[in-house]
Amino acid sequence: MKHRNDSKGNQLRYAALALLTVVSTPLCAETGTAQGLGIAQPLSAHNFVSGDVGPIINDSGEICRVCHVPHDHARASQRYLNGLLWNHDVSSATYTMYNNTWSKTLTGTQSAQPDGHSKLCLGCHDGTVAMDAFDKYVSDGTNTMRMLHGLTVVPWFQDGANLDLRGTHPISVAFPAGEAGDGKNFANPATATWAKGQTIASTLDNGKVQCSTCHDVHDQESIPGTHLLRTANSPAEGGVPSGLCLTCHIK
Amino acid sequence: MKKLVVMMTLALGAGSFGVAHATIVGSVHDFSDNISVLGGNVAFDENSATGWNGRKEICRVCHVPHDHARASQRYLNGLLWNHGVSSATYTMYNNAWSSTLNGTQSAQPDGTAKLCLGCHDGSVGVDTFDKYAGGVVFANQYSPDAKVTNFTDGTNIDLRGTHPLSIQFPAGDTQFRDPTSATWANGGTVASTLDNGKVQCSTCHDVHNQESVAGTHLLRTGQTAATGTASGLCLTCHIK
Repeated sequence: MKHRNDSKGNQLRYAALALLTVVSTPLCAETGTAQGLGIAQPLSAHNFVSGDVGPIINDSGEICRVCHVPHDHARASQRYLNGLLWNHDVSSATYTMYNNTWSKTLTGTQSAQPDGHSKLCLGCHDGTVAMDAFDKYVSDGTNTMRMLHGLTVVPWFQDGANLDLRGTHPISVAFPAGEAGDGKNFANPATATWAKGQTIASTLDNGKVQCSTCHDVHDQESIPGTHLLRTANSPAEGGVPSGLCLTCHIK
Repeated sequence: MKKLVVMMTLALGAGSFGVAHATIVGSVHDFSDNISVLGGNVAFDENSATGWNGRKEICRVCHVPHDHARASQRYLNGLLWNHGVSSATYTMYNNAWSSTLNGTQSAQPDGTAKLCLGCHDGSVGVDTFDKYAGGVVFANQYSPDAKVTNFTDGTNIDLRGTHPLSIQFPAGDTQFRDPTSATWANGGTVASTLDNGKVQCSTCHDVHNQESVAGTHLLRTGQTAATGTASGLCLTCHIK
């Protein structure tokens, strides 16, 4: 509307820009990146409406429904028992966990298997469950993250068989109480903050570090252009070197 | 200029698209046709799965102008209530279940949600109203969608699979829009659809079909491009 007084030349430029956007969309949307403006933003990594991010897996045309539903559909799997009105299949995999046996420097209490929010993330990101296995839809099992977007699977899991979480930062691990705010190992989660001002504590899940501690799935508090990170991890991302890591770790 | 007018007209049309300026007459809660759940209009028979609303009144299935002095004193539920309510004890969605929940949750469904569950938990007959004992015709016989979906097996009364209800709108929580300024598709505020400040079934669903979007489950705002915008109902309150 605001372009109605534009010259013919400008109109052509807009048309060309629009065309370029359409053509380039599948390329830049291959993995989807953070916008920092909410999940409803086009191309936000978890906005699957209209196939903006990758192929169309979401016939419902709703954003929230791929993960949440206001009323459980009474499937035998009772997905709602995962909490948060969950509406997507979760993985039944058994993982090898990063734990105190693996690394004796680990002092936080580690869950035996992924729990809380991480269990939900792994429902797509371990590469074993199809993205379209949600709501009342029966997936044909082909649309897994591993097949569609290699980069968005937990990197270590690329080959589809490896479920060893010792190659990824510990998850489902309690923020180490004894070392929190000790001035030499970890920052105090109650006062240390991410880039947008939230405390670390507010991003723990029952006191545990989960995927959601560093990554903001709803893309509200994340740094544009990153993998939904709560703080940039490099000058290229607009932050300081290893800024994300050093938010918690005193090194 | 003409194009501008056309576009504005279209935009205005889109804004009100699908909003049913309808009423309860002819809606899913209009049982005046005394229709049999087995098909066809039939003579009244209060104790069969055939016609159960022989008086063919619309309001009376839920409300009555003068309480019938039944032992249950249904009027104590408010709103001149005239239908049996469920005596079930539910497992509630609460802070123990989800640590992200900030609003104060009632121990059991209350307010208007208690009334909805009178039919929609599947334990009370839709024909259990007025002076009739009922208990023969149930909501799910009309539609499998009519029961709280999680309850379809008839025994599960776990409300943790449904959006929290009988819960205080979390005032001041930055994850939520201000209910006094956020509006549904028809322009009404979210606050006007709270029940003593609580989110209830009626916050999203318009039982009387006056403010709901056509082609939805009586939703106050559409959830899809066909009825509104993607997840438009959710995003009316939730900032995501």
